[in-house]
Amino acid sequence: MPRWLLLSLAAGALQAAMIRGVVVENQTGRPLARALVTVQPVAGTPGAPISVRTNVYGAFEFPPLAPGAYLVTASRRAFATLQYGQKRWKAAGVPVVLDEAASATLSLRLPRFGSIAGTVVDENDVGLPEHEVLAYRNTRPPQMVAHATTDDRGMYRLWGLEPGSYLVRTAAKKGDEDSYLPTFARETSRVEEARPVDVELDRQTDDVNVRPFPGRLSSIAGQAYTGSQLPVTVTLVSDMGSQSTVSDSSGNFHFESVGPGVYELYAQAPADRRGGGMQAAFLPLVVDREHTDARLRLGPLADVQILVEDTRGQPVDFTLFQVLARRKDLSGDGKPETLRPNRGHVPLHPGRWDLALNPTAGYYVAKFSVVQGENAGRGRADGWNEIAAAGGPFAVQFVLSPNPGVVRGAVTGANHEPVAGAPVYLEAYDLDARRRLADLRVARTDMQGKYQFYGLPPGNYRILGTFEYQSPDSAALDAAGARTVKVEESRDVALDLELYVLR
Amino acid sequence: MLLTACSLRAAVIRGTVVEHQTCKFLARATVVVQPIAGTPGASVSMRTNISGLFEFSSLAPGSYVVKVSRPGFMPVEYGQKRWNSAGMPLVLDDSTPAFLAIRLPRWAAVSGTVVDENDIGLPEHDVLAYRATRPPQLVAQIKSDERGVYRVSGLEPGTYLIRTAGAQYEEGAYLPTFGKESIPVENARLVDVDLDQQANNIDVRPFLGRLFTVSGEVIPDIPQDPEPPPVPIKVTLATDMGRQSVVTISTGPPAPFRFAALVPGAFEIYAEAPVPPDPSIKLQGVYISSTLHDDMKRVSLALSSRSNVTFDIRGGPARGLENGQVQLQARRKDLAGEGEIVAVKFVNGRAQLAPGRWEVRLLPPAGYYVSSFSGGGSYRAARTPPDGWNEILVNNYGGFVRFTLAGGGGSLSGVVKDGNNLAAGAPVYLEAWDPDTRQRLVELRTTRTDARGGYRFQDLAPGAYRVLATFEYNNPNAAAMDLANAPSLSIEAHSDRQRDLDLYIIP
Repeated sequence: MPRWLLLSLAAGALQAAMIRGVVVENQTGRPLARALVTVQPVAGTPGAPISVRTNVYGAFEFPPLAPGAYLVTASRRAFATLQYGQKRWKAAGVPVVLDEAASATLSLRLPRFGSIAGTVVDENDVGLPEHEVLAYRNTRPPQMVAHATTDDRGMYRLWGLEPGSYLVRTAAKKGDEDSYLPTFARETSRVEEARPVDVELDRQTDDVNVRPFPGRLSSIAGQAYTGSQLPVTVTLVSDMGSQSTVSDSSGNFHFESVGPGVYELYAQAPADRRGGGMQAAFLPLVVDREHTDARLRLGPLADVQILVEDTRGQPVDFTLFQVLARRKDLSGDGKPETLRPNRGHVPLHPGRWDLALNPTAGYYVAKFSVVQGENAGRGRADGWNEIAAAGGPFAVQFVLSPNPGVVRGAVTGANHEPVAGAPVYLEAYDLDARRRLADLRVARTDMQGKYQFYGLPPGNYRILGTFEYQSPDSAALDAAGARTVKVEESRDVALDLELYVLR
Repeated sequence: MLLTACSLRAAVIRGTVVEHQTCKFLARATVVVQPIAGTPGASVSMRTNISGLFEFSSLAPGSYVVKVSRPGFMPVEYGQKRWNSAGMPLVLDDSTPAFLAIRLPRWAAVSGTVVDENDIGLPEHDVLAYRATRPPQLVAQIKSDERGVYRVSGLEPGTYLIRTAGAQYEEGAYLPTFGKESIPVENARLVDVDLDQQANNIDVRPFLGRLFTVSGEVIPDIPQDPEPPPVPIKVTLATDMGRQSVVTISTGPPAPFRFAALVPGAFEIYAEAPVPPDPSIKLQGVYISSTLHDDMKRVSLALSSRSNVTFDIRGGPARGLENGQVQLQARRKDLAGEGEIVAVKFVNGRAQLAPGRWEVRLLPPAGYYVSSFSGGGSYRAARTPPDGWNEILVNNYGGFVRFTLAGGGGSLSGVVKDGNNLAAGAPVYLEAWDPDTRQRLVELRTTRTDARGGYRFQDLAPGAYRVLATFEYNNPNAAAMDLANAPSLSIEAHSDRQRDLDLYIIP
């Protein structure tokens, strides 16, 4: 019998639908007091999300609920958030389905995140105190996720890590007489030779020791000009992360202990009270020696005009879409932020940016172009589009089509029964290059097992309904044999899916 | 021939530095060789090589104190009997090189877990280590990790108290709690630590309870024209259990500040900010003291830039402050104790100290001692001798302080004997002492005997003192002076007191 049906628990006929249970620590089974438990009704189930906290014994109970399907989530500080029914980390939660007058008693075991521990040692295996250690996701470029400082014994511990593959690296350190270069575990300056460290929940990976190389470090100093005495925040970025400092009132700034490599300097100053706007500057830099004369002349932010038209060349109302932007630098992609254009204009700091338009369901982004300025030339109209903003005017144009496609259908289980609350993933896919073209779209089936995706640009897609993943990558969709579907303008595609279960 | 003769007469110190516990070589340790009075030459230092080796050649024959340090280890002096003993001088002749094997110990540590009522670790909870004194003296602060595990390192041997800070989380508030589970300090668990050791399982289970907040705004005292740049304002809250600071930024209008997770009791708040455009000289500040009974949400701190203090130095050399012959030091005093010592900068005989409680000390030039201290108006002087730290209260409008210097201080000299021999390089400690209250009055003075065992203290303020010559301590406290039966004596102005001492050795 499928698991989600097992969760439809019969109870006394006169009782209301109830969800209660207990939250415990996964490793020890100890009760977790004051954990937050949330129930979220699946589409088609009436009501709003409700949260309660566990009592001193880890027990919780929700007030009577309407019959239907609910996703249950439990969290507590320092523990990995758990969705009820998850088979593995990064699997999707399984909804609890309640008939009228049924109740469910859940046991939720919260795991801890993974951790990495080791020692930073010198050439005699003596621990080096007060040395900064960084953990990166093992991606290209590596993405910094955690840092720690060694104790008096040279020991460090990086925690709060999601399961996955990591790289551990010591930061540059300048001593009285000797300096240490940034060094990956166990003893290499090259990311290609770094030792990958696998991390799992509830587990600590020990003995990830690093022996940093002695070597010469440089400093980067200079002046940021604003024309006023405003403090300037200067950020130094490399493919291994970033660090920031604030200039003095004359604009002088200084970065100590910088290893050789390629860097970017970003500067920004706040708006002054005389009505002057924010100012910013950008400077690429190769560090192979001392830099004492870096000059950053701050100017107004780039004035980016965002033109949005429909396919007949008519302007589209700004209430019908959101404009998203994320900064791109040597350390990777920044966090997406929603822009609020003023009469179609937004100020952006100089540098590389990704822009995206998020229209309402009745439209899709058919085209993106740079009308005035430099187009970095990568991206897809309905995904992220890279631009290089500099000082001066810049204009981009999005074209929205009012004729998107739709994919809809139902997800059924092994016995052809509808599956409520099942995640369905839709991936814009290049069949020839066999790669993902835009961010994955996600929906959950309703109480009748129905799903739908609106506002789709024409093209090829892959689709999968499964509880096995929370955000499957292309390889996972390959492995699951995700079905391919072609979407055309103004067309509805009906496609029923069989729930994929990993065997 | 001359070069050869010099080479033949040179003394040599060589040796190794290793980790005490493992005997691993300690590369790049700093080794300092310091000649005692009567031995020619200046202090020299070098770093050990990759094998922990060092060598000083071309030293003059004589007596030297050898000091070794490396980050993460306790510094040692050659010949120390215990961690807080003084080093023995190394006597070199010109024929035999000295070879020293020096082992550096690590400082002590305390570790444990901060747990809730179900023994689940509480993540990122502030843990504080105090010396077990009255009042407790904060020495270290650290956060627990995600398991609730903490480790406080770098501790001198001694007795400590471990306490969690108050913490307000979304799910509830935890009161400041001493290990293992006590609110009052009297019931706190005492933790003894020693070098190269870690005291484990010093767990704390903080109590759930209600905490309070002090918040409000800081109003800068800055000119409107020309337009000033944004000013960072440091606001500090002090209680008898420590200090916490926040930095708030003002671009002209009031800047908000907030201290959360506080327990009821007395507190002091002081704020300090530079005054543009010349932050090197001018500052603005404010000070308040109060008692917390409930949330205080509308505290208004108006900064003042007029807290100039005029220091009148009488009786010393002319323009002594300006030419650096006379130096003035200050340190913050608050409920948490004393702050860092800073040198006070003068402009036209005036110096600016931010409002609040301060202690000031005058360092007189040779030939003088501080004979009196007074502060008028709003100043509050503690009953301490004028040649020590003098407490003042600086308000928003500055004020006036007077030190008087006098010439002809007393002196104390003699020789230190170790049995029938003269003790070269022996530490001699002189303590200004109140025989009635049996308390130390000012900080201990220290010297070392010269190559012929002679010592001398001069420019002493008249009064009662105790004196002790010993290698047993590096900086003996009053109790150690009691135990050693340090002889007491009286020093008078314009007098040179002779007193020979026997080297004290703990039986």
